[in-house]
Amino acid sequence: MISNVEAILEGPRTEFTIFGLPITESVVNTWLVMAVLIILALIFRRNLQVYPDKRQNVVEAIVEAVSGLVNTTMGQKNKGFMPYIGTLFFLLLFSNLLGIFGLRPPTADFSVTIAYGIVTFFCIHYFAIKAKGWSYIKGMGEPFIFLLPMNLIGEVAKPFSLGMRLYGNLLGGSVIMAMISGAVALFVPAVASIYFDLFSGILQSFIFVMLTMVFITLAKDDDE
Amino acid sequence: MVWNELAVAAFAVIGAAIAMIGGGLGPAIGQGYAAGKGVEAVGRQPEAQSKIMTTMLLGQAVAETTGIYSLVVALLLLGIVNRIL
Amino acid sequence: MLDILPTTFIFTIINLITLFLILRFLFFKPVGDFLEKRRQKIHDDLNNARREREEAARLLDEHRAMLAQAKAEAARVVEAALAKAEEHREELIAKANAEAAAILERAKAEIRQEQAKAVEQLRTQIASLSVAAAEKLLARSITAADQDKIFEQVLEELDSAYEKYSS
Repeated sequence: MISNVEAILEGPRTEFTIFGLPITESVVNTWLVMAVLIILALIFRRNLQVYPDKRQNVVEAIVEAVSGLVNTTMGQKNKGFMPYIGTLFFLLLFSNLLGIFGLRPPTADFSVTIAYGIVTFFCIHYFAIKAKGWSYIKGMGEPFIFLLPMNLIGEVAKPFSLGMRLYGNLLGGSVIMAMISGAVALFVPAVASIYFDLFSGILQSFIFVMLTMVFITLAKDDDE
Repeated sequence: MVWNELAVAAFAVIGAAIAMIGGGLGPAIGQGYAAGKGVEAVGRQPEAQSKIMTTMLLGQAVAETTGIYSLVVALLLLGIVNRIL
Repeated sequence: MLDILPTTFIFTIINLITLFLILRFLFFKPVGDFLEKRRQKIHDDLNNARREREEAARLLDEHRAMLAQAKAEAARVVEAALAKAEEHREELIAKANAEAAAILERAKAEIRQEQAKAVEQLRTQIASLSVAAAEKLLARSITAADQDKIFEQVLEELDSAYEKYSS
C-alpha cells in the first residue's frame, strides 16, 4: 500500500534515455494515447457518406458536439479553433482515462500539465495581439499603469492555475485510488474508480478546454 | 535519525493536515453554494439546464483552484516526509 | 515534485502540436468539410424545393385566374346572346303587332269600303225603287190599300236588298 502511494508521489519513472535525455513514463503514455487517437481517427473517418451508418453517426455526433461547444463558448466567428479544441479535449480525456487501465496518467505529471497550460498561454496572447494589436499590450496597463504588475501576474497565473488544477486533480485522484486499492482490494476500488478516474477525468478535461476557450475569447474579442 | 529531521517530518505532516483543512473547507463551501444556486437556477429555468450546468461546473472548477493548491502543498509536504523517513 | 523536467515539458508541447496537425489533417478537416458540404447540399435542396413550390403556387394562381377569366367570358357571351335574343323577340313581336295592325287596318278599310259601296248600292236601289213606285203612282190612282201595299213592297224590297247585301 505504502509503496504504491510512494511510487505515485515519487513522480513518473524514466523509461529510457535518448542522447542522455530522460524519456519518462508520461511521454511514453502520451505517445500511446496519440497512437490510439490517430487509429480511432483513421477508423472513424473512412468512407463518409451522405446517408450515415451507425459508425458515421458517432463521428458526426462527436464532431457536432465539439463544434457546438466551440460555437456557443467562443462565438460563430471563432469556429476555426474547433480542431485545436477537439484535439486538446480528446488528448486530455484519453490521458486522464489511462488511470482506468492501471497506467499512470500523463496528466498526473506537472511537467505535462504546465506544458499544456503554457501552450494555452501562448494561444491566448498570440491571438489577442493578432486581433487587437498594440491596444492589447497597452490594455495590460489599464486602468492605471501601477496595475501593470498585477495584470502580468494575473496572466502568468492563468497557465499555472490551469496546469496545477489538472495535475492536482489527477494526482490526488491517483493517490486516493492507490490508498483505496491498498485498504480494500475488492469491489470498492471499482466504485471509487467511477468517480475518481472516469467522472473526474472527463470533468477535468472538459474544464481545461472550457477555460482555454473562455480565456482565448475574453482576450481576443473583449470590448470590441 | 536525527531529532531535528524527525521534528521537520512531524511538522510537515501537521502542515499538510492544516493545508488540507483550510484548503478543503473553502472550496467545499464555495462549490456547495454554487451547486445550490445552480439548482435554484434550474428550478427557475429548467430549459436552460445544460447552460447552467456548464457555467456552474466552470465556476466550481475555478473555485476549486485554491483547494488544489493546498492539495499540492500537502502532497509536497508528504513528499518531504517520505524523503526523510 | 513540482520540478519541471525539461524533456517531458518539450516533448509534451511537441506531442500536442503534432497530434493537432495530424488530427486536423486526418480527421477534423475532412469530416468538417464533409459535414459542411452536406449542410450546403441540404440547404440547396431545401431552397430548390421552396422555389419549386413557389413556382407551382404561381402556376396554380395563374391557372385559377385564367379559369375565372374564361368563366367570366362565358357568362358575358351568354349574357350577350340572351340580350340579343330578347331584342330579336321584341323586334319580332313588334313586327307581328305592326303586321296585325296593318291587316286589321286593311280589313277595316275594306269593310268601310264595302259598307260605302253597299250604302251606295242601296241608295241607287232605293232611288230606282222610288222611281218605280213613282211610276206606279203615276200609272193609277192610289188607294189607301195601294199605298200600304206599295209601302210594304218598298220595305220588303229594301229588306231583301239589305239581306242580299248583307249576305
